Amino acid sequence: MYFTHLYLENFRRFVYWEHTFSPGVHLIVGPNARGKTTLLEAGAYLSTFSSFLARQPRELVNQALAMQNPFLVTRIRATFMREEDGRHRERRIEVRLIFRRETNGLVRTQKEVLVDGVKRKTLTEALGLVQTVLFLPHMLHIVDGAPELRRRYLNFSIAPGHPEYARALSEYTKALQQRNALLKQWWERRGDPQVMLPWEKKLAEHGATIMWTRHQVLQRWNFLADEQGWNRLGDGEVLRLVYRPALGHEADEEVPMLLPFYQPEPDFPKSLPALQDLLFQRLQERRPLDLRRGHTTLGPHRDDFRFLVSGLDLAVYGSRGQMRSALLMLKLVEAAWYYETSGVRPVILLDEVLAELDRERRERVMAAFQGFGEQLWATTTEPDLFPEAVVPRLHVWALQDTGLVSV
Amino acid sequence: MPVLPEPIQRLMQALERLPGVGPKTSARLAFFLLRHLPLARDLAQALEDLERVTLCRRCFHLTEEGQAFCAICRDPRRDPATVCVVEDPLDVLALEQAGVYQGRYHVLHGVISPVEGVGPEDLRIRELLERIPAEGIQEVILATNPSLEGDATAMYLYERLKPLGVRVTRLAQGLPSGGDLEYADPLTLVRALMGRQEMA
Repeated sequence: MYFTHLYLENFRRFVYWEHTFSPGVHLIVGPNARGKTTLLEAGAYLSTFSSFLARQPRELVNQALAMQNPFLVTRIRATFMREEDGRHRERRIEVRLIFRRETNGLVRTQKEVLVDGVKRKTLTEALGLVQTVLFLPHMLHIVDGAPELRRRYLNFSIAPGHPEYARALSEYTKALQQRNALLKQWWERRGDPQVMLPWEKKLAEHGATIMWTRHQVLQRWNFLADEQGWNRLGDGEVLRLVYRPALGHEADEEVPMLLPFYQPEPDFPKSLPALQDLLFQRLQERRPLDLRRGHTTLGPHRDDFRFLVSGLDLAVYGSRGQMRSALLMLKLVEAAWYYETSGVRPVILLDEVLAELDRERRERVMAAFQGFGEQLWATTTEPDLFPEAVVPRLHVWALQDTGLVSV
Repeated sequence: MPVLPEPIQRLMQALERLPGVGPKTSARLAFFLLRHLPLARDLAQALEDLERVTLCRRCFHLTEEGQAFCAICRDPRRDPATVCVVEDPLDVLALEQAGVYQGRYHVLHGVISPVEGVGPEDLRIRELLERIPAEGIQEVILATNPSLEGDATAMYLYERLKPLGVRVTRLAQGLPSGGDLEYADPLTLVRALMGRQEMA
């Protein structure tokens, strides 16, 4: 798919901004703090309805105007061509953030989504319509940061195309809150241990769906990376993603070294029902420990996955360049996987992607991404990093406050 | 110095405490009542009569003061061997409007939700378990909502009822009648498929 038009109103630093796009590679040039990243953020927002860079939707509203006005509407609107039934069809999407400051000072931001001009009842209905793959330098923390970032990343990637995963996540979270509340109250209230069982059953049911999907997806990602040669980082180094399901291993247990490719993690159940049974059984076994700790100590909310290069954990032993390469591999795989599961080639959004990479890696990265998407937006402060030889037929734009100007 | 007389202010403050009513609506309602005093008197009477509503001693559905049992429990035509367990009295109303169910009810007055501090002992569960042998109940229909908490409550009840040797059933889940297959969400479709029945 590719965007043909993007319109922003009161989105972050932009008051009115619009531009008409063609397919192909668009390089957006500008000095720092002009809104280059914001532009990519807007594109990605249309596919996930949440931002990797904002904790709260209100951060996306133009702050100068929000301070002056008690009521403000932020709009991100796009027209795009999407592969449907073997040809491109023109579709439209608009996300509105309705910002209100109440008389008591409380701020509320409400989200609305319109598809082809018709308002949808829930955001979920419009998930997966726009597909993008976003790379931000900030995302390097996915490789070396806390497991929570990697779980969030998995959820961001999987949920839009898998409604049953999104539903399992939401039900799991609710059941988890209920069991944790019970664990905390236990010492004061005591009562019947059978009260735990229904929540453990629910946790096992939805948790197994989440873990099974994550397991399948990571295996598929490893396969795609190997098939395309994206997992070979140079100098004979091979990258592999390893799923670490929280099924009751000790937290400090060593990551298995040098696992052969595609081999499922040892002792991971062979079917969804088996996984559900195992999770249910482990939850019951863990009950005494969970009671002492006051929270649930296993399940997909404690999952992790690691980047292993030739068997070594990249977060511990990797260089910055390797981490960047690993993250780029992940992004390429994500793009290929979206195409495989939905038949739609995502729009590739790359923020300062070539910084910190040597010339050979720059060329490989750009070639791989160009070969993949129908449209690619890249931002840079250094247009020299994108020579004609590396990126042919490149559209170069200077970013302005109301749109883009050809350079 | 208050701008409005005290009775109006008191009414507005009381109305504002109702769910879904803010300062604007409460003012509008209060002034409407001021202009329609006969309606206000009816309303006052109805509100006062609320105090006469009590709970049925058997099923905990609503009944009037002076009546030990609710209208359904008093009805000799209702089957005493079947009990339908619901979350609150409004669910009884919904089922009664369908007009098919011939048994009695048991109102839990809530669902198990530890987050809100509601455990089994806060619901009428002990009373339900006592009813099974005392009334010779053969079948318990679990009709809690198909939500996470409703399901969990049903599961808990099932575990407690099973040892009593009573038949335990759960309301079917699936497509709403008059609904459109293409607009059904995936989970509903899955449940409808799993609960499919032989054509008769």
